[in-house]
Amino acid sequence: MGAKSVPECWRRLAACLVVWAAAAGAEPAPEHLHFIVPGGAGGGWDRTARVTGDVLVKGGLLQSASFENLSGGGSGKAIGYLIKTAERQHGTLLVNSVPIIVRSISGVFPFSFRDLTPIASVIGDYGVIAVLPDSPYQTIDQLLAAFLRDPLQVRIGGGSVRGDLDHIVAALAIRALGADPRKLIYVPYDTGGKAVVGLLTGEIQVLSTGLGEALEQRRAGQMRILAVTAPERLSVLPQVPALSEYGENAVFANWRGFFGPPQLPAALADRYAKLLQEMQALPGWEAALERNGWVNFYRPRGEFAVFLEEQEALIAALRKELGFY
Amino acid sequence: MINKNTIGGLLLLLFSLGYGLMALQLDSGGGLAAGGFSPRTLPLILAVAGMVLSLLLMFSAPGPAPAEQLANFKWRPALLLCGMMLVYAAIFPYLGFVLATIVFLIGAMLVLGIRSPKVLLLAALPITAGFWLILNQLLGIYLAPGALFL
Amino acid sequence: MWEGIESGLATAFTASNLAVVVIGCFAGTIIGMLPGLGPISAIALMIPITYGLDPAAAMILMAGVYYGAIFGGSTSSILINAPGVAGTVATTFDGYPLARRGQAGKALAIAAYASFTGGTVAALLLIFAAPALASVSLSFQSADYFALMFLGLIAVCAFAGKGYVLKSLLMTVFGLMLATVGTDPTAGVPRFTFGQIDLIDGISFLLLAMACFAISEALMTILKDEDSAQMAASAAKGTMGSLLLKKREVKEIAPAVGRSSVLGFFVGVLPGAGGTIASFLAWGMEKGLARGRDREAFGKGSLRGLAAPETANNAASTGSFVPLLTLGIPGSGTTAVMLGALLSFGIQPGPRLYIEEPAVFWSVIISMYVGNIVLLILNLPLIPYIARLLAVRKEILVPMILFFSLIGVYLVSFNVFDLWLMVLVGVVAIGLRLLDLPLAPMILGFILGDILEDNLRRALIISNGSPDFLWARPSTLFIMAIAALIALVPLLGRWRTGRTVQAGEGG
Repeated sequence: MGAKSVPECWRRLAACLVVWAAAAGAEPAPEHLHFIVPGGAGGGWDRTARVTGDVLVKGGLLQSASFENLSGGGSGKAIGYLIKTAERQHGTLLVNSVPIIVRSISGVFPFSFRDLTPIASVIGDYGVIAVLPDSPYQTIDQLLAAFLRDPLQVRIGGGSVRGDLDHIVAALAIRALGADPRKLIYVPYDTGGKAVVGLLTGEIQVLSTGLGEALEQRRAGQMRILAVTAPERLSVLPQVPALSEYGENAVFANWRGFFGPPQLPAALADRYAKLLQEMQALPGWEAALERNGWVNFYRPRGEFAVFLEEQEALIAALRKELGFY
Repeated sequence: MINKNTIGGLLLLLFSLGYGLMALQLDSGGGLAAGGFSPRTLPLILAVAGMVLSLLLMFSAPGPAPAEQLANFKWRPALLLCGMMLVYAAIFPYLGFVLATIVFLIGAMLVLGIRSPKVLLLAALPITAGFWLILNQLLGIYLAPGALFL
Repeated sequence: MWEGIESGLATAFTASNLAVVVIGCFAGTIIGMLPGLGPISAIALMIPITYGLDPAAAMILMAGVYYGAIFGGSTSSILINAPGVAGTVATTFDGYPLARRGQAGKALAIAAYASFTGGTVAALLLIFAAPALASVSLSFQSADYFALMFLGLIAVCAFAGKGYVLKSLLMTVFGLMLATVGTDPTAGVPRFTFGQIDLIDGISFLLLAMACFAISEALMTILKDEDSAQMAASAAKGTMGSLLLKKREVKEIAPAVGRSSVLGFFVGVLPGAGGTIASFLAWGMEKGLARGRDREAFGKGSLRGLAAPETANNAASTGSFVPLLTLGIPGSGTTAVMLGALLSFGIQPGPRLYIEEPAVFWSVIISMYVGNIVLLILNLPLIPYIARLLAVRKEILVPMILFFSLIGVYLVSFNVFDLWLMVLVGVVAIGLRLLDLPLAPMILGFILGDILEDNLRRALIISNGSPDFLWARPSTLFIMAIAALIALVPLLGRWRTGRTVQAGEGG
């Protein structure tokens, strides 16, 4: 996990090789990448970064990788640090996900993704609306009908605070179905896991969570998925409607991706994006996706930036509707 | 008669008051409120509780705790130690873990009266080295080098 | 089920798995002694290592590390009043005074025995009651959690001792206030952060604990210019003999240990409640059950006061495996990390685990028990040596303790701001101590503050704003009724003393 130092003669040899390879027109693999994780060890971001680095190194696309946990301020600290020390961070990537958009809107930190260089998103998770297998709501239409009768009987819970990810997915769903998202009773929990407990104890009747989680639970026979925020029905869930079948603006993906420091030279940024793309062909990456229940969601550079802007607009509008700012 | 309870109660009363005033400035509207609760509800309840309890404390008889000899306290070394900790916090980003820790440990021991260079170094160096080894090598925890060395 | 247990025993007692347990316990203890690295980071750090092992061995390693870390946390609580883990805060109440009286060896031994017993009883309860418990634990909703936390706070104040009830209440409120600093748990809005990005996550528990306990204690030692000679002399004399408890002492703590194991286990079973509240409840319960001079001794070095939280803490740790293994729901931060690890092995804990992978299920449980035994065997002989640390001159020890506390907190956040904050809090803590205001209720209020508010909010959202959630469900009503009864105790006590004692002062 630490940067390895290379003895002198090998350094010289490598340098010669690099020059030769560059002269021959090939792109040399970067020696080393440093990953900043704005969260604690073992968390979602941490795992994403470490698995990515691990797969890249083992697959020969990278010589070595190092990781730094820098939690605080809901990523604010890490982002601030990366911005402040930008000139010497050309070999550093920051991992993040949807919260970078939400928290910048809600003012948790004074930065936004525009203050960084978007490299690429790598994995993603559509949102789902799910219930217990024996729930009285077996289809999304039944849920809607009950909601219109009495929202208090259709409490939706999730692992984010009010106004954040899971609440947004739930509100999006309600809106796509044609009902008023402000009537939604959203019950916030610390984590997705605790929300699942809430579902099991009956505190909430419906769960808003990520596809990966939900699929796991469904495979274990413990959950029934009613709708997905994907652009169209998923092959793994052909019976489950995509919310876009009901209304507009109902597509939402919780992505995880990497950012570089501001003013990162475009050549470097492109090279990193390419690296992440090549990573997906590696068998190690396939195994990692399998093991962690992740889904590919690759959008490089400009495409990534556009995606972020669209998501930001969607989230901002929805939050305003719900009464947040 | 002014006793510990009066002082303690007064300080906490002022604190609760300040806390309550800050709480009143918190946002409470829109989507933030739910179930009649907003981000400022609990703080306001606490502020009121704090003020009531501290008032009660101010006017209650002191407990049976043993009286401490404030006059006999060694304030100077304690204050200097606090100072050393502040120095540690100040130099840490610049000197990095290893150097800053050595400076702190030696400084703190000097403040407390140890003069022998042998003891100073024998105590400070192994502990610092030991921690650095365990943290950096064994556990793989990244300790950024001081800004001076980057 | 018995063949499951048999296969579990077989797996647990293979040479390699035993080695794994030993390594885990050892590593866990060392890591646990370093304040910043609690069980959670210890286990997270172990995860990459476990990739090379088979799932059973990996779980065994992590369980060993988990217990080791808790034991390590107790060690620093007792020796230097530095509770590295929230679950060991209550250990400092009586453990540290014992150490100061020169009985560090005995205190560490009691902690070891108490933890072992708590873990054993809990493991037994786990084996026989796990499936049934799983469904019971699911009946606990936010309202009930709120009531439970409220009960814990009331208990600590009610049993605070003459003249301290009001102060404890006040300090509890103060602790709750400190807990509100940071981001509001329900809506994500920053509160009381003075615009400092470093306060967005609130004040970390570790920071508060280290500053209030370890740093303030170290500075007080200098202020009072106390002689550590007494502690040194006894520590130097420490032999294995002092590790054996006298029969009288065993009799004294046995009932407390028994009660606390059961209490701790059941509290641990509830997802979200863990070693911390269990240890405080146990301490409060034992203090409440003690009479007269025994009760006075709590907080000053009572053997019961040390045994109860240690037992409950370990029992709760075992209990928290119940929701993990039977429902796939992590009962605490640590089990959440373990859940992640299990999932990465392709093992989905849940009702099916019991049926489909009995080897894993039982070997985890058995090895937890083995882990308990190993901890005892490993750590008891080390105790005299560990206790000897206190023999170091205070001129060297105090800077070490200060460094230890500061770096411990730094390792969690890597934020220099925390160091400044610690000095401030440490000074304030000394002020509070000199004003005779108790710090324990403050810390408890702080720890429970977030959970309390979080559950209160949810309960209100669900009840649509009405306070009837306090009595709507029988479980909530029951817990609140106990809280009300406990709250009456100090009043009753005062009434009774008022009648029998004619003199004016409270004495």
